[in-house]
Amino acid sequence: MEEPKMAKSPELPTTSSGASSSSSTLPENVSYDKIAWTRDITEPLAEESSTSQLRPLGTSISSDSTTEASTSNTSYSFTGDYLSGGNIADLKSGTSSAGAESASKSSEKDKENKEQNDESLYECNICLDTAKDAVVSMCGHLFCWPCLHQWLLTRPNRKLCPVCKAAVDKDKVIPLYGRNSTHQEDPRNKVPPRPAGHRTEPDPAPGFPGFGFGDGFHMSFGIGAFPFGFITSSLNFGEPRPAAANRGTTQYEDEQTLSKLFLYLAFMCIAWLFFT
Amino acid sequence: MLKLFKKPKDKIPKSEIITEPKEPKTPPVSKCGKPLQLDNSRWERRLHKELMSLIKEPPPGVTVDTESVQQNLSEWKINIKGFEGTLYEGEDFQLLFKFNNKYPFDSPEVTFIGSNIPVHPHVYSNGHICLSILTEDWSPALSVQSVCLSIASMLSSCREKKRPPDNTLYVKTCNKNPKKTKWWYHDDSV
Repeated sequence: MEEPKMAKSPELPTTSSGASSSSSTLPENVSYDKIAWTRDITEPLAEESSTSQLRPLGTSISSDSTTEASTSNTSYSFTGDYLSGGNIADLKSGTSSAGAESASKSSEKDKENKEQNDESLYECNICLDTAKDAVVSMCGHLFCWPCLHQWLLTRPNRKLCPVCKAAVDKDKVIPLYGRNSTHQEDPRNKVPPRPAGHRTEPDPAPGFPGFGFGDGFHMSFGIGAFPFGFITSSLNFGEPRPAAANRGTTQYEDEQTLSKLFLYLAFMCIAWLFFT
Repeated sequence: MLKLFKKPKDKIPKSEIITEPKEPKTPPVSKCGKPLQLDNSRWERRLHKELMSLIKEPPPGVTVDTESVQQNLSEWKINIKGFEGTLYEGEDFQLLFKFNNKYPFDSPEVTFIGSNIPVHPHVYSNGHICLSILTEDWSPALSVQSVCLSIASMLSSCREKKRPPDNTLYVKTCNKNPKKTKWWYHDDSV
């Protein structure tokens, strides 16, 4: 529990407090690297608040700001693209002192991890980029609309969600509109309210082809329980009848009229049998 | 009537393959008027992302041959170790991934290459692999990493080292591209 916190602390400039503490965080960089990738996204928020409480206790704000100023050229030029193209040599280029370097490096890593976590939440499941013209399927998976559309075209007869293989369709996806995105290129004009994630099963895959000639003719076998089914349904063994409705309610009256109606019907049938 | 039941029995051979080329797919056409973005940069971008994550956090026993990738981004060589406690413990295998420009909508072409091709009931001696996610069950949400994991788990769950029963026939008659083979997936146990 201690370690991540200590490694976490350089995220805010106040807690780095010069070269003295950075020497202690230096060996942890290696292990922290691994922790950070798997950490839950909600965790940094909680820790951020805990470290922000420590802020007034910080020893010298001025010295921190200087270290930050000395490293600012690297820390702020840094974006989420690091993963796709950058390397660590880029980070080292602008730093001056060893302590400041390690502090800035870990803080950058923090930022990067956070950014990366934030971004990967909204990555399209197909192109792995941040989703453009984002749509979400009924099963809750996020895609770029062009990506998903192309996937649906690739397999027009088996439209399955790429992630969970639930059924997806053009009409069963919901476009996501951010604040400043008025010109969405979505085929639909109306945005239905966003439903809770639920999935529908795809049509049964043609696993067992069945007996038959080609496509046209098919045969199937079945075993029925004709006499038993007939007995149970007409003599009503299994389930007890539902309790009668309370007196005075409309349901009670309905039931009464219905039962009378059936009684008359039965009489009429019997009469008809007798007199013909 | 009797013929009717016999016919399907005759049709299904013990082998897993019927070598015939797939019908050529018509290229995807956008219905909403706007041409789809199917430029080179997109699939290369995704391959690049996958490569970086595979180098950064490789799954256990999987390493990328970065030299081969640097030469050609559309052909990757990936080394796989046989896991401990399985029949392939201590063995090293090499996989060749070939991507075309329809990736990730089209599955990569994956074969075992090199001198050591695992003896496995779903791996032919020419390196072709009978694995459903490599053809019809492919999904663009799958990645090189997940394919590697699937193959590793396929190897790990093997209980008897043997070639597929129709190995000699298949190797003689098959197309060079395993995706041209019409695979028949019937055995989920291994």
